[in-house]
Amino acid sequence: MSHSVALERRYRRLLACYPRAFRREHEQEILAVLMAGAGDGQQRPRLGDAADLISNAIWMRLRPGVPRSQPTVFWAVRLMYVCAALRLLGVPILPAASGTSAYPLDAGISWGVFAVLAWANSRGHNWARVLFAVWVGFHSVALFYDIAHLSASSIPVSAVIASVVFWLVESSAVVLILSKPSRPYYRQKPAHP
Amino acid sequence: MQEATFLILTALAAGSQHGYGIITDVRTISAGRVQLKAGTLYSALDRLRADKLIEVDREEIVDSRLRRYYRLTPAGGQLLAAEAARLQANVRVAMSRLKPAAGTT
Repeated sequence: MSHSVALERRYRRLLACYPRAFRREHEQEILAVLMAGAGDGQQRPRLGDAADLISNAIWMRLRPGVPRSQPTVFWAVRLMYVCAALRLLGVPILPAASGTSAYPLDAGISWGVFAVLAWANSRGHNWARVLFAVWVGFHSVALFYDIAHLSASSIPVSAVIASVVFWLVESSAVVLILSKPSRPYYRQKPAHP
Repeated sequence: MQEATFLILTALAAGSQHGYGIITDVRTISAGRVQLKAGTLYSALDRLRADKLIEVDREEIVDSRLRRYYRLTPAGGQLLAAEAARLQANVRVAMSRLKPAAGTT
């Protein structure tokens, strides 16, 4: 009996890696499954079980987490991650900024902003939805200003095309998160963490 | 669809089951090849529930522990049927192509 108490305590410690909401929903069930599969006299979690619990807990904290039953938010979050990836690859938001010395710093900061906002939107935080729309609104104004003054500068056409494509991707994400079907997702309690 | 997801949905196709029941059934269905672990199973169940492919059928308390039974939703049944048909079509093509090749050797 003391064996099973010690084993259960150790499993509980591993389950503490999971997001609180997931634990509240499934901890008792998972413990029941783990204890049912334990061998006689087993005191410590098997290495495979421990690795499985930890890796799934990490994945659960990092995954986008939007169910497919919410297609508008599901695709919007993926587009936000595409934006983050494009920034990481060096695709410019504003054509005029692509050649400046501040560009690497700007690219690094905006990559982080896209990644954090994508993660927060996937969790259903309404502030992230508003912030993303404002952030893209700011880009839109700056981009149109750049393009309007294009003839007066020597900006490469490729940088302009890349910026416009980037703008289309981020604008699509805004349209999706502001659409009517997305509203209920942001009204509910934020998901797991 | 990942194999583990396919097997979990298949395990639930015959009726509702609890977590440990799904693990043993998946082992049987796959002839011992797939041994689901608890972390993987509940990550999948959580996702399938969020996607409305499965739902909770009932809950019981056994030996002072919660035992929750899951069942397929109509959408889950349709998805499983579509995936099974896709796999069956692939298998049919593979077998038909293998037959003449086997005949020539």
